Amino acid sequence: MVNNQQFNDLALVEKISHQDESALVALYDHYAKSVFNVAYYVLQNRTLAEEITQDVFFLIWQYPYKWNPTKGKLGSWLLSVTRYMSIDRLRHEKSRSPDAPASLEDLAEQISSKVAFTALEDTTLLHSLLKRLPKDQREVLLLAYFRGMTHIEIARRLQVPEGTIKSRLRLSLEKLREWWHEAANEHQ
Amino acid sequence: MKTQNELAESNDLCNQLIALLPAYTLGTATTQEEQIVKALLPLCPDAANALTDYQVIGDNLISLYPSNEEPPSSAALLQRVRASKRLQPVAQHSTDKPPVQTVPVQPLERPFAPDINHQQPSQVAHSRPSWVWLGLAACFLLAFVGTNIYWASQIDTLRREQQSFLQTFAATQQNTTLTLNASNHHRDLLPSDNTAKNSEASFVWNSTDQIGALVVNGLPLLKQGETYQLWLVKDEQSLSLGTFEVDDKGVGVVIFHSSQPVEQFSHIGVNVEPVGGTAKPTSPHLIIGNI
Repeated sequence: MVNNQQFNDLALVEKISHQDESALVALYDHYAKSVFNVAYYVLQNRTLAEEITQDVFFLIWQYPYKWNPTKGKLGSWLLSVTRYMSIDRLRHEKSRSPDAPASLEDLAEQISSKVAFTALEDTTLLHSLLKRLPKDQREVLLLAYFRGMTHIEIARRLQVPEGTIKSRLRLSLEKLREWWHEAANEHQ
Repeated sequence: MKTQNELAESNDLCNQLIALLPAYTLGTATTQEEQIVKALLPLCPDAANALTDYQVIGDNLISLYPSNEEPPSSAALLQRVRASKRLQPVAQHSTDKPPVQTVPVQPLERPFAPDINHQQPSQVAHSRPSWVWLGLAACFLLAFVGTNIYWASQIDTLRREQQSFLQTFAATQQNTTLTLNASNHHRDLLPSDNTAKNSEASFVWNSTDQIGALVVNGLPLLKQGETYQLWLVKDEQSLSLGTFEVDDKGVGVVIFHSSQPVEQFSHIGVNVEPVGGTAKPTSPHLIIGNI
């Protein structure tokens, strides 16, 4: 089903593929705030978040057909790409590697193979379910998801054994899944 | 038909797989863990269902970011876009479509066409420049046609290469799926050497297609220049099924296509060989299992 927003997104991306700058600006005005905020939340640094925001929109300027409208909304895709690029940047900053970060073209390739997205119409339920999680499980889930931290990194940061982190992460997703199914059954 | 023992072993594998799913969903799994998930997923339908749900949850966690900061204006982005246009005027703007080679067709002109009505006899004798222009036009046409033929053949070659690659890819994917479908056989390998005493390994194969996989856990990291090699063994005969590395947790995966029926052999074994592998085993097996 293609809704009005998706129709507009399709039209804008089509114009962008013909190098229409006004279409890029329109897209930026619509999505820049959410893209910037995801980047800022992951990176905790305004300058880096600004760079990532620019990279995300420059990526769609250069590779507009990387977004596949049959797989999901442009907004969800942009946020997934933002998260992926931000985590990649965060890891690079942490390692202080002398190597240059991956080129935008390489990132575009990696992202198209890794970013999957299935957007829910309403995420309010997920918000409320997340709040029901015990604090320690929610914390581990958000560190892994938004900071891209591995089990070992989270274990070091929270000073708990790696096995505990694994179980917390597993329990958090299992509970979210179980509650989500319960809510869906109640709804029917 | 799977025996109870095989079912139990398969459940163990599925439990190992389920433990890896959260990290896999959130994108924090290591490359080895990702390989294990991909290899075991077709064996465990419950895990595959869980993964689908986890992915929907994971995809939508993105909407939960709590920041509410104002983004920068689009000015810097436009500056970058214009700079890239200056650097890559036309052809570099990628749309994932192959570039089309076009040359604008110019109308043929005779720039110095003489006015015959005003020509003197001596001037008619010197009207060669028109032939020169005709010759140039013919050369231009030839070059134009030649260039287009060249690019058409290049695009055609690329299309053929792409098609061949896609066929190879599809065949590999089919092999992997066949390997891990319901008619698998499954054996466990046990340590036969003290250096691998903490290791465990599962060997699955499909007897119809003679393809399969080995998943190991707890093997020691090797020195530079060494690799693990998987063997089928019967008496003095050995057949290599491939080489593999392990990560810092000793986890490794190898997917193989055997040139001979696995059932013809009596044992499966893993030993250490120089990088690149060898034709025959040159060291004792560290882990071994019966077929």
